[in-house]
Amino acid sequence: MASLSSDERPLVRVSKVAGRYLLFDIEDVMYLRRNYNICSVFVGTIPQNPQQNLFMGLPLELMPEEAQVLVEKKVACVIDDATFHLNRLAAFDELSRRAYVQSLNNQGKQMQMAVIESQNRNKLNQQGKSKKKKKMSKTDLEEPKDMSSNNDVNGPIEADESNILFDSTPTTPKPTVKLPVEVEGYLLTPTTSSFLLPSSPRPGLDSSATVDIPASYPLFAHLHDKGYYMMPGLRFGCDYNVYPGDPLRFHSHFAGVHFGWDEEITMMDLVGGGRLGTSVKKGYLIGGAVVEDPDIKDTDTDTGHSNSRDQVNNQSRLKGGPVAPPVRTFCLEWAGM
Amino acid sequence: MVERDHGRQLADTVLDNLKYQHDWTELQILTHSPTNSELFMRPMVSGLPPRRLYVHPDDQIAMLKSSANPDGKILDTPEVEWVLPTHISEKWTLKKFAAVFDSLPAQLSAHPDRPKRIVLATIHGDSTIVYYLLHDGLVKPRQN
Amino acid sequence: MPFDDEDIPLASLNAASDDSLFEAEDGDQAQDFRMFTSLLNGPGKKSQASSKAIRRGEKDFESHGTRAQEGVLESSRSAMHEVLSYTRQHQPRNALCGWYFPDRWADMPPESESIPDAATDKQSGSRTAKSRNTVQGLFARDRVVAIEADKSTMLTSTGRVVTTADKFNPGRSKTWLLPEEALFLIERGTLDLWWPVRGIEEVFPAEKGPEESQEDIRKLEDYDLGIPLSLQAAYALFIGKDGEKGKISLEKYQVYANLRRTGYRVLRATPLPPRPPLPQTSQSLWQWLFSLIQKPFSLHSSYSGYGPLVKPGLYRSYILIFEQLALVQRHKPAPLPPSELPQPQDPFKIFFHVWKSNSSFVKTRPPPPDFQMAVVDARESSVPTLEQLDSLLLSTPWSPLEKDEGRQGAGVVYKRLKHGWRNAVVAVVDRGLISYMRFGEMAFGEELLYENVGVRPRAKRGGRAGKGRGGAKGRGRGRGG
Repeated sequence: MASLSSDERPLVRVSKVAGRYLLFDIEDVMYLRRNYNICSVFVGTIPQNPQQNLFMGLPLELMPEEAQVLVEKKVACVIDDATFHLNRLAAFDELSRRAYVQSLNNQGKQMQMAVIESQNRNKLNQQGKSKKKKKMSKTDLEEPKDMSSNNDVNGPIEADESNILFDSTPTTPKPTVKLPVEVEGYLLTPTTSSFLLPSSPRPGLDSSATVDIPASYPLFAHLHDKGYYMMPGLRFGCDYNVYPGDPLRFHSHFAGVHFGWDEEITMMDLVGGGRLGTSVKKGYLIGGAVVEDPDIKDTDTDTGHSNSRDQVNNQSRLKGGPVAPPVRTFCLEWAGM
Repeated sequence: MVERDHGRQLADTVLDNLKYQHDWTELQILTHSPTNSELFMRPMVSGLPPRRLYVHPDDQIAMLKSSANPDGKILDTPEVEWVLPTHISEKWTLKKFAAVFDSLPAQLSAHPDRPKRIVLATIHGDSTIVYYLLHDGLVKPRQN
Repeated sequence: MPFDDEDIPLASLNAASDDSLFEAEDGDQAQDFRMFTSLLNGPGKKSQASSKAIRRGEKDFESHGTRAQEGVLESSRSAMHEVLSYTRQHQPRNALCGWYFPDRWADMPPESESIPDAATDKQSGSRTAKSRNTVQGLFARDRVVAIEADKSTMLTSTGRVVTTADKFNPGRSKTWLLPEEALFLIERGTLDLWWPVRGIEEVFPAEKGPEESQEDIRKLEDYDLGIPLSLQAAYALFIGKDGEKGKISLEKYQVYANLRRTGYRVLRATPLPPRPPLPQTSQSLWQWLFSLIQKPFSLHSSYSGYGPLVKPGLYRSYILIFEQLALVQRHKPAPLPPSELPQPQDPFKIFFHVWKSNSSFVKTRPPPPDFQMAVVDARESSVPTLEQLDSLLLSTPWSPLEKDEGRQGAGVVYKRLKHGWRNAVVAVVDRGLISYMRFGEMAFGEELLYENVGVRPRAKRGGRAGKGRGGAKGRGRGRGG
């Protein structure tokens, strides 16, 4: 959560599956979004409304560049999730199995009771005070199981996850309310595998799997250092869509394309990119890592200085410091002539 | 030598186009950097457009806010622009663009802290010329 | 619009600065989750999520540091946080449980080899096609999740029973899911996936029928048999590299899920059964062969090196003139015999067959698919070469729109041209964003516009006549170009 400082917070666990980088924990997703300008693309189906493609849910697919930036800033580690799961599942003994299944069952019961309670309340509200039958039926209900003991069963393994769940449920069941003891409880499919993770400490940077970064990484890291938010560039035929703030709120400023320092750029590409960019109110941005050259020494300070006014205002909040090598960028706009 | 002639020809074409089609004035072709008087990679054209060619988005907003100039009169005080002539068949690199900018003096405008800017003129085979603004760094797009 | 014309002054860009540009700008990404929550919590909870109702909120150019702007962003973020904190839950009575048995069918032949096997089993001609169909598309080796009962409506196009296995084989009567099917069902909250700690014989004790075996399971404590898995675990188990047994690549899964969410039916592509050798087909094949022989002959013989293209003479119809004007060889699409079908290489290779949701559907014997789809990773491939495109298209079935002799006119012609003679959809995936592109085999020369000009009675015959002769060329004025 926002209140946690980066020192207290364990490393974000990026799950690497078949060369892709995924995030499953919404707390991690929001933390990175708020503090590290990582938005990326939600690629999963939202179970509350699974027949649409407008709103997408977990997991979040990171670009390899994003995963690499997070590793370099020492906020995340990348774990090969297929091997991890097979190893951990094979080693899961009966005791932990029982604890885990029971804790899930208890959560399921509490969720179901919360739903029943809110339904009852809705009925009461709708049908008014005149009907006393409602009260009768309510007295039939027996005391629920002791909630606190249920929570204890979760133990340290599950505590993280369950707390999150209960925070997010709209109605917290109160022990004074009478509820049916007979609920079987929902069967739950947890979003993350936190039950399989060692309770503490979370995996360290040394256990991080490698990230296969593309050639355009320097440009990405440079823009990220400057406080921009990047999204995959497929929609505009570029490497990155570059946003001055959270894409939830802001239009992107640039369509960014990476070139090597000595890579040839055809003028037609520049004209086409500039034209497309201007027609959608974006700058066409080209850039790449500077290859060391004795007489280029001053450009670094030059660009850094000259860009100060254009940097996004929340750059100071960006943690972990800059990670990019020296990069030089150019922006193209139609001159309107 | 061939490159020099090629560059000179492109510069001449662009100068003519700016002069007769776009009504630019004070046009001249420069072969040497005014800062260190070294030879340019290729000749550049400098000139004064009839109207202000570029207004930074921050200035746009400032002008909208200031009621003193509702018609945006500042827009009409032109600035000297530097034009880099290129041909559509050429291939450039980041390194070459960087070298062009490094040989230019700092912007002669009210905001010397802003990135340098040139006008990129690209000549097509049918002698059409397109003009794009090229900034030396991250400059947010105008919001016309 | 300022898109096309270069010489638009800035002032007119100014005029066009309404939101319409931005509407197109960002596609459907970055939706405002506030709209979504209000939709979920609204009184009509089941109300249709029409795209208009959940249009994203307005966006700004840049941060101007106002509290209002921060507040709006914060409320968007917390709405997103709330929506995505949801935990998938299943009603205890009718939960759909699945068990992960990755190696259950590892001994089964891969899909490509299973076809001849089935063909040798059955003898009679008419039954061969049928039995081939039922075995095709089974992909038994890749089926890794067994579900306890086939009771969800989601399963009309999902999962198969592995019928080729021996009887009394545990799990034989269960419905088995492919990785993409299982993952999608988990993701949409339909399926609860379990990791078994015991063998399949104990999870599905004997073959007693679904009800009894269900009860047997309940007798054992849940954790004796296995544990429920998370969504994360499901991704770790089901997503793999192309061709890995029991896995699917992430981009293919993303395309699968994207289509399923919109209601399409999607199955892994199988080699389509060759069209039954109808007399028409063989005739046109024959005509095609004939035209191959005739074409160079007629072309070279009828033109001399000098003189007018159109021989002087008396013409009562333009058709003969146009035919003489046709100098350039044109592409003539034709059905290929099965032996000549190319084997396209990944990734430009049909991987999914897609059906619209309204077509009637039997998953064991699906009708001809509405779309043939290849899936391409934007970062690991580039624009296909002409050769790649050609073999991709040739591998799809020959499916021109039938020429309807009764109906003619521009509308029909353009419809046929737009449909193409063969077509394939290529889904390009860039880190979760998908673009669909349709490629068609085009043959403008097949639609002789001059046949519809002028003489009426001959126009009717033209359709047939044009086929044999070849070498004819349209006037090139079609708008569809």
